[in-house]
Amino acid sequence: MKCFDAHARSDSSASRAERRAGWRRAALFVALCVAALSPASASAQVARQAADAIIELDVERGRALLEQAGPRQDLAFERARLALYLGDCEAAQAIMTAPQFDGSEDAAHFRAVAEGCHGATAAGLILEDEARGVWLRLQDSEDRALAPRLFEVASASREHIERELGVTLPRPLRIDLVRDLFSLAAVTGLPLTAAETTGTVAVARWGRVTMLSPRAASSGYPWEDTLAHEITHLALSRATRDRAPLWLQEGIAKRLETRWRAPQPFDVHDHHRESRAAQVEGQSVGIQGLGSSIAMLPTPEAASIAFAEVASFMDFWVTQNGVPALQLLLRDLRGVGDAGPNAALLSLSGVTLIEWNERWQRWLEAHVEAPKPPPKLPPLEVKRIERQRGEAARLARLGEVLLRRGHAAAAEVNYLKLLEIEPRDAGVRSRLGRAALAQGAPDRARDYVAELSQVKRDHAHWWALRARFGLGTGAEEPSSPAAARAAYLQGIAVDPLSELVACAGHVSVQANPQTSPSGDPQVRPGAAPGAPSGVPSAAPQAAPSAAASAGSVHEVAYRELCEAARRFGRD
Amino acid sequence: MPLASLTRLGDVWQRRTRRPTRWLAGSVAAAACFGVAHLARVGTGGYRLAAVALLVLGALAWVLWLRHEWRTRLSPRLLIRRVVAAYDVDLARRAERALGLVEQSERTSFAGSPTLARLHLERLAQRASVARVEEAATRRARWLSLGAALVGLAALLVLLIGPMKLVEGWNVLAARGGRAPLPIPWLERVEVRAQPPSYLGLTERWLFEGATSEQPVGTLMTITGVPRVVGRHLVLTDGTREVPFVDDGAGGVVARYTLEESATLQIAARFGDVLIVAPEPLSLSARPDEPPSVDLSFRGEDGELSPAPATLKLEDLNRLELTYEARDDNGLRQIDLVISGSGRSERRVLGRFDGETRSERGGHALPSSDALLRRMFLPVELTIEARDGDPISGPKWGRSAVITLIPPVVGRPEARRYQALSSVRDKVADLVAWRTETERLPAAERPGRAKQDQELLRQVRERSTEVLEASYGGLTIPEVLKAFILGQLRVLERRKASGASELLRTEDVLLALDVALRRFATVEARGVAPRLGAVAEELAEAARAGREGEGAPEVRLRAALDALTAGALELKQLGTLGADLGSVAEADLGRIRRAHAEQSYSRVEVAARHLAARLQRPNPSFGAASQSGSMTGDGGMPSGEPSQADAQFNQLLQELDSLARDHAEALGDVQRMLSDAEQGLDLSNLEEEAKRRAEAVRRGVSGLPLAGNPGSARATAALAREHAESMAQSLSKLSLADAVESGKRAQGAIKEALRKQDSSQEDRADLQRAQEALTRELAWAEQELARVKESAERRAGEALRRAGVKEQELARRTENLAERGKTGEIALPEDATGALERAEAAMRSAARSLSQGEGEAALKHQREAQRHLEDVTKGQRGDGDERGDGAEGDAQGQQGGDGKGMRTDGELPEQSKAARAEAFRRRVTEGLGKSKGGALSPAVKRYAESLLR
Repeated sequence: MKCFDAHARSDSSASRAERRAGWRRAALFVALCVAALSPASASAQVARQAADAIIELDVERGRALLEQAGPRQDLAFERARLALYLGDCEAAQAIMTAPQFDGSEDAAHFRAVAEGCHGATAAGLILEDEARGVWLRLQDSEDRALAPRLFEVASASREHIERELGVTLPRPLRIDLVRDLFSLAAVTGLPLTAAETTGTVAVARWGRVTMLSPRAASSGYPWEDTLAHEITHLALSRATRDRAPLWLQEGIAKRLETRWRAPQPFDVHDHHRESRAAQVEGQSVGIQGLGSSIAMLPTPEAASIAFAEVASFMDFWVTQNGVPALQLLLRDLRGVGDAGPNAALLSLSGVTLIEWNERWQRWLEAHVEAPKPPPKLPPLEVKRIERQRGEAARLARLGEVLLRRGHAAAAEVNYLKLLEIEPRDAGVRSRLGRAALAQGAPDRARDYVAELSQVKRDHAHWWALRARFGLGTGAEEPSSPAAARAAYLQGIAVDPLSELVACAGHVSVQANPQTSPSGDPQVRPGAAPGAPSGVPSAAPQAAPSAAASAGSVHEVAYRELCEAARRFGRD
Repeated sequence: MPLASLTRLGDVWQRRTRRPTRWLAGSVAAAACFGVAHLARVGTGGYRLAAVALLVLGALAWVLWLRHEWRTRLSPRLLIRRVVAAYDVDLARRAERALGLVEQSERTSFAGSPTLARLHLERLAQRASVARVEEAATRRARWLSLGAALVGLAALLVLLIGPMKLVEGWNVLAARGGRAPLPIPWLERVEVRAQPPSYLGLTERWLFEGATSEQPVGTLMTITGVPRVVGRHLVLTDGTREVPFVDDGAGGVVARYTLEESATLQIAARFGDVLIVAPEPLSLSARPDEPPSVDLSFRGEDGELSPAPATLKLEDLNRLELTYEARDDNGLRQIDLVISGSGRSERRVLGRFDGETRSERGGHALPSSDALLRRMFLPVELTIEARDGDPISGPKWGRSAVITLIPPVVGRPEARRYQALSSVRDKVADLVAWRTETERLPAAERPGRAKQDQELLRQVRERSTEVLEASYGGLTIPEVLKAFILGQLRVLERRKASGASELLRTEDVLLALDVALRRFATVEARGVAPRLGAVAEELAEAARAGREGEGAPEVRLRAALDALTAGALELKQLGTLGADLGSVAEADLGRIRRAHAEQSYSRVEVAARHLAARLQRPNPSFGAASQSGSMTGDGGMPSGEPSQADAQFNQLLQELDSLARDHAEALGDVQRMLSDAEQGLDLSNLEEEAKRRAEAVRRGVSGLPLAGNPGSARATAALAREHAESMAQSLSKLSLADAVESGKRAQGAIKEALRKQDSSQEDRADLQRAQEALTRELAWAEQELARVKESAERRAGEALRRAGVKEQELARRTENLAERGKTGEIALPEDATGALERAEAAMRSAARSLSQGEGEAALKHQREAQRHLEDVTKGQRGDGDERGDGAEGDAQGQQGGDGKGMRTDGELPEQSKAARAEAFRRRVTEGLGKSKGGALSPAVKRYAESLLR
């Protein structure tokens, strides 16, 4: 409209207007030059440039800028930021203790992060895969057995994410593997209570991925996908100069967390359906209701819904606009400045976030079937289900206690009763398999985990037994090394420090009572049952053969993982 | 060359003037000596120098005079000048000239013949008149005599005025090093008194002057005497310190000197810089107040006492019995037990004394579960320290030899206890496995396995007994858990009901134990972790010391590192949470060791502080908010608690508590009903009579003594009088129950006094009189009391019957709980169910009595029932952990492991503390206020009444 108005005016007035505009432009240019030449402005400019470079993970450029500027006091904060992004928390802390930062709230927070990070990472074990460009710092040096697989996953997922987002992450990629939530909170600055409430396992902040060691959770967690998720966040920060809104960050991260690898049998995450269910049940968090972080949401359920919604939304958006549009959106966000992400979205698609949100919700209503409300059960049925649940818990624990005590036969009896209640539970089947193996009945154990269709959800131990028996993921030739390897990798993707998983279905520890009257076979401590003689106790039978195709490095790595899991002794 | 005539004249002169000349010389010498003495007596350096100079000058003058005299005798010229010139100057001049001629002629021939010249001189000398020379000499002698007399008189005068001063002056003049050589007794009638410091409680002593004596440090020496000469600056000196003598107001002088160290005291007079001491110095040897000495010994496992020093393992002890003997030369003030180690120190007062106790023996038992000991992780030093009351040099502590206690690794006792408890669970698991297998067999084969089944059951029983009674480094099994396990054992040993599954019951027991143990392990881990955190904090402090270059931190650092490493291993034994936290600790220990290997103290410090903070927050590494540190779900495995037995058990305990409270309330209600009914009765018709009888009681006991030696018959008689007075008072107030009670006490005391043999006949007569009076009045009081009670029961009849219904209801509740404790999924120990059954029976009796309106009888039964109930609840509430108080981390353990409900959460709220304090106060005042009997009940009652006022 403005353009048409200008053309409607007379020529003379137009020429006057042009002249005035010319003067204004000249005055602005002079002012900018003067401002640029003044020392204070130059300082602020260097600080801004350094901050931008560091925030978009270009730490080398940030370092160069700061080195050029010399040891100026006004750039101390940026030097501390650079140190933190480089993982040098000690230096960051040292810089932040300068009196110049006293009284500043931002600096106090930053200092607290640096201190916490230094406390949790001081003298941590640092490993680097220079070829892949991955830097790993371990709080627990026992986690080094996990490093080869972690390097592999980090490299593979980064490659895919870079391709998908059209961005290149600088090398090395920095990862801190911490031992517990306490340290995760200390290193990242995330409030501990928030981390405990939502069950946060990893955070991408300060240019690094800080991730919980799988040994922290009693049954592990899908750490490989989590790593890919966090690398996506770093890539988005890199692509947008950390200006991507939370829905975009989490939506893309959720979308890409499993795409870096081949699809797996139990890889079904129907975000659309979950979002629709939340919509129907009135539990929707909403794209714009995420707050400052999903980790800060009040409950794990809310966090789960939020993840489903942002993933569904971004799937919808990418489907509507295409991947190139996504890459363009990221570039636009990088340059959008103070105008905010909505401006980028508007300029790219002509529609604001609110409109996209409405479209997505309409689409969900139209295309995703609303889940049926759970049937109203009669009280007797409710009681029966509750009783059944109680009985299931009872049998599970009985089996566990008996199996640990070495009474595998008795344990199997209880697990079989449990299987009648939970016939498609992979965990129950894996326990049955273990009980059978402990009695020297590998065939029976194999039968318990033989079919993919027998279970509704996978379980690391179940995969481990499938690896042992060469059952694979269903996509490989049965009993082939590839099948064993595939199943093995499925297991360690979740619970790599479970002995059963890390040692590909072999467990050395069986506490048999001295007075056991049951006649359960005594399993030699330190030896894998069923392992051929001469094979070291720590050597899983299947894993090396499975890994052989990938080279001897893998074999050694998995052997170390098995040994580390045995030392950990959680099983 | 003196000429004979001249010599003769000289002799004449000499003869006449020699004596006066000598007199004069003597007088002058004496005067000079006196002057020198007075000058020297001033005592300062200048005056003493001047005196010496004067003395030297005088001596020199005397020598010169002698020389002059001698020369005069030999020299004709001098003779001429002295003798001839004295009466004829012209002749003397001529004679001198003639003498000159003689001398000249003897030197040279130009002056003529020496003989002629000599002759000329001879003639002139002969012309001199001897008589005139004598006359002149006499005249000279007269003058000399006069001079000598005057000077001598003056010297005599000086001598007469102050002869001592001359002695003092010369003494001062002869002084060396500020001390005059000649001692002078300055005082007469000297008295020396020694007053030891008041804290010693000793009396003043008299000492002989010049004696040698040993006195305590701080003794006040008082020296008095009468000065022999006045005007002297008298002092008492020990060689370095001087105390001036002052007028004592009684014509004498006094000086006071406090003995601080051994000294030789001398009385002296000060003259300037010089002291003239008196003879007979007083040698005092100062006896210092020695610090107390303490002997410490401990009772070993064999029951024999062994002396310190010693090193003991705390883990091997249940408690350490210490025996000590402290001695001090003057008196003890305090004896402490000092426990120090791991940078902490605590002083516990074992006794305070009045400062006169010179020797004290005692014993102290230190439980190994002592809160402080449990917080220690490095060797602990135990000493007994005793303090004297020396105010002079300050109190001194004496220290015994050290008993070093090697504390167990942090968490080891807990880990051992948990492992022992787990072994019980394992035994039950064996039984479950066996019975599972049995159940799978054909029915015909099952009886053959019964023997092995019983054997396994016996093993469970034996192992349980062993575990529950054992001590684990001072820890025992908490009472609640013990009761729970014993109850589960009872469930296990019950006869199988018809149609019931023995296997199912055994499985239930296994799961109940499993759940309880896992919760217990969680509580234990939560208790141990913060203590291990304290070790990490110590490690951080050692690293800080290293970083700041303080001392030698390596030993401290390594000790803490070793303690932390060992503690982490023990922590890992404590269930799922313990394994998790232990593993976290090991992870950070790896970093700490790496930093230590790099010699980076700062990194050691930050890593250790991080670990300390982590252990102070003993939550699971992941999922703390959702799992509460208990059972962790296992992926697809069904989760949740497989047994509710422990929750049910806790509920049962709570119900027992509630029952005991309700019954106590019911008992109180009945007491109140009877009391109200009694108070509502009109006893005014008894008032006059009661007063009269009270007076009779007082009269009856008036002959009894008011006090006596403890344990004597008189003391017992005095106690009887006290009780009787109380009875009289109660009678006056128409408080018949109290009067009867007091009367019985008084009677008992009188009987006891009569039995004792040390009373006189007179006393015995008084006692018998009192006994008669009491018996008479007590009988009346009892009779009236019975009537009153009867009336009160009639009056409270309806209320009592209502209370009976309530009591019946409580009896039903008790029966129900006893039944549940015997037959349900959970069970109480046999003692507890027995006590509950007895309580129930007593309650039913009470209910019967109440329904018949027999309040007093009902109260008796109610009290019995309440006692049984409290036996049950007290048994379950007991603190088997013996953890002491104040242990951080243990607070949680206490609450969870020992308290009701096996809570896993934290500290007791302040509110509950206040409530407990209030409840205590109420119990004290109410309890004291109630009439409970007992020998001191009247006094206690009066005290309680005064408190309530």
